[in-house]
Amino acid sequence: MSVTIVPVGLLQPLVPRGSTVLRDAAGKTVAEVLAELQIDSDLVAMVLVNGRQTPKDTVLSDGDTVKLIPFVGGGRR
Amino acid sequence: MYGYGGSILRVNLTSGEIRREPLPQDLARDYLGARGFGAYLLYREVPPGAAPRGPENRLYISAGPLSGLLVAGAGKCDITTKSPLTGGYAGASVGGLLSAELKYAGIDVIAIEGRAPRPTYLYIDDDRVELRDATAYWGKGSLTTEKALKEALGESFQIATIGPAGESGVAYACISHDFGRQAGRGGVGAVMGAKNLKAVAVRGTRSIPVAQLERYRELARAMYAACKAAPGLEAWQKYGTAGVTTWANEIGAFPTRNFRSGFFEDHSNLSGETMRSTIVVTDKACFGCPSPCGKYSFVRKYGVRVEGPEYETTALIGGNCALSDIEDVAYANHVCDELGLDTISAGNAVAFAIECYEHGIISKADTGGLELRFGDVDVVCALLRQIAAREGLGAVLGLGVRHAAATFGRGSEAFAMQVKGMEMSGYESRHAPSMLLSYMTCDVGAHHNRSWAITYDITRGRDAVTPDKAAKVIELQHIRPLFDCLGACRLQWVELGLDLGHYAPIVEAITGLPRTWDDLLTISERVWNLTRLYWFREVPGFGRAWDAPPPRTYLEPVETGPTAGKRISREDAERLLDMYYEQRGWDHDGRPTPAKLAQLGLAAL
Amino acid sequence: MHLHAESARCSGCRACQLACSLHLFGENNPKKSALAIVPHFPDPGTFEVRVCTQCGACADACPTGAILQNEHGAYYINAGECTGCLTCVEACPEQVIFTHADREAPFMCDACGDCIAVCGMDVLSLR
Ligand code: SF4
Ligand code: SF4
Repeated sequence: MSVTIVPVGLLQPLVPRGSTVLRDAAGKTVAEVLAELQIDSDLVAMVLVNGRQTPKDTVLSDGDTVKLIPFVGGGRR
Repeated sequence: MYGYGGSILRVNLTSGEIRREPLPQDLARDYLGARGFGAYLLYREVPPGAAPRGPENRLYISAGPLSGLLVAGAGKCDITTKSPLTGGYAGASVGGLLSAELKYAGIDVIAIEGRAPRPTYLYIDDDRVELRDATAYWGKGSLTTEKALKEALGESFQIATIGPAGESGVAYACISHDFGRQAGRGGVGAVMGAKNLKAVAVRGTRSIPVAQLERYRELARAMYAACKAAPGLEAWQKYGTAGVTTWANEIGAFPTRNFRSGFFEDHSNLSGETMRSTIVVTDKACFGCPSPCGKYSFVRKYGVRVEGPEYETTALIGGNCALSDIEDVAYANHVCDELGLDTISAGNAVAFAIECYEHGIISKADTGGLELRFGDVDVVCALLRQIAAREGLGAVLGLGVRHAAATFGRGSEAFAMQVKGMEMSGYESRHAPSMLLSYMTCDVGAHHNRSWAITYDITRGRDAVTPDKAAKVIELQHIRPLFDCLGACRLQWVELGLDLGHYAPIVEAITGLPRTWDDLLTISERVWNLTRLYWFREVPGFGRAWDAPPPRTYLEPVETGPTAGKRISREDAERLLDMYYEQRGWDHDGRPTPAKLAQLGLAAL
Repeated sequence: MHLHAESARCSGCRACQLACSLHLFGENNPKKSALAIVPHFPDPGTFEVRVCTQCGACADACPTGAILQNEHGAYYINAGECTGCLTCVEACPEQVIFTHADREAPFMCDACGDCIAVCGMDVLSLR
């Protein structure tokens, strides 16, 4: 029952070792998982679940890989 | 001159005289290229008070020092003129292959003045430059014209053309290039149309000399390697700017029903994923771009092809007109492209008309019997066609929503979404003060290209109205337009996070002129202050009032979605302006102070 | 070794052509490159990439024997022996032997691979 979270670029330092496997994330939404990881979901430009872009209210399933694409240049900091 | 085409091509359409002048060295030194060249030449050469559609107005089509070189995204071209939409400065950017081709023909700027006695196109094949009859193309759509000219002249010619909207003088007619790229904003196409200039066709076969060849090649390799290693590359390549449609709705920034809301209930039908999996056929790039945002689509329902819709079109034609089928949005995009209409201003104009109709401000008597409502693609396309032809309601709507509101009256000014006469682009900003300030102070009108600061609002608090927000807007207003001076795209930095440290060394290696990043930013600030001076010179009474946000942003809260209930008070908008002016070295009315002008070397103006 | 292109991935950016002209001549000029990007727009809206397959038809056709193979087995035109007759240009089945007003001899791909590094879309490879 696990979901792999792969934040890229600027989001990487926000989770240990650049990616993280969450054991109990299946059944939760992307937004809930982001909140648990203390990632501001409004700064995540795109969420790709298994390579397809999805909204943050998508409910995750066992075995999903979630890639988080941030905005990088242009207003942050 | 290293890195430059080396000449200004001067074309007088009235007399037919064509001549090439060497590019002045100090122009390259002080204004860098593209946007900088356009702004300087407009200020110096176009007589004060010139009518935007008159023969004395000029159109400058300019490349930058990076255009046509091995630099990620080095395909941007600037088109500058006095705007028929706003009456002030217009500088529009277009991607594709145009600026590179100009450089290969040895040209940095085409400066076009006068008015041709009959429909004409400008033909440039290296040193052979001619004005040719364009009667056969007049009246034809942009895509049709580009195809016909390529068939007549050869695939290797790059074409910039106007459509029927440019010919009829729609104040937000665009100039189209490369089957789906547009110099969209400010009505540059109407200026071309008023000059009887249908198109420019250019082919160049020369090499662009560089100062430090080996250093340049090394820096170029490093730049491409960094882009290719960027972790977000694949996602941005796959979805392009349409990738942010979902996000814009999730944060309540997606303009919906004439900016009444920041959330469109059917947004998932318009998402990047929906688009990619239903209509996209080819990824399409500008010159030298490793992360093509262009998504070329086949719209099955209508049997047409279109580049896009990119985010702005999805926002203004999609959400803002409440179209909830990506194929309908893509079709309306195709209609705009063929007619030669800026999708941002056109989407605003259509939504504004629909809202006026809903309020009973206009009726069937004004619309030629058409019942206007949101969410109806036939209504949208019918209005787009009226606008391009300047017929029926289009006669008024074609001059922009500021003009339309002044004509219709009855309170419609409150929901005309414009600043300085230019319609607002795709970010509902009532819960994003620095984004709103970006719109208020952008030097062409309500456009996001000079500063895009929503993520800063999110990081620093979306309610906060603090001096650092003004500082961020100013910082971005120097960085982002710098790309427009260089003739390069900013999205490799914005999306891929390409380090800004790549740019100054490669500019230096190419041109041989020593440049630090701070030197480049100073040039950008100089250009920013120059365009501000232009507004003061051209618009009687110009000042603080021209930086006011659209009344809807302070009078009415957002109706639905995550930002429901939010608005920015007029007082807060004024506070933002105070902070901004002070940090810019401008006076209370927003005029650059003599000290600021002296510091930037603009005292003589 | 020859260059291979997966046209369907190409976005038409022409970075490869610049890398090529920089390699062949030390110049920035897509018209002096040895691969062709052919856009098919507006219909059907695709890019066709034409590259040298090192088939050797040019060498067979050259009347003066000016087309030789380099150390990686890639063909090149020995400008000293070339008479500029352009027989090879006609003979090339891929239409990837090019000419330019600046140069008497035509030119072609020498399979250096510089284009691969700048292609953001991973269209090109050496096989
Ligand atoms: S990101 Fe888009 S606009 Fe920028 S250079 Fe690439 S294709 Fe052109
Ligand atoms: S670099 Fe790649 S994507 Fe660009 S034109 Fe060449 S093959 Fe196509």
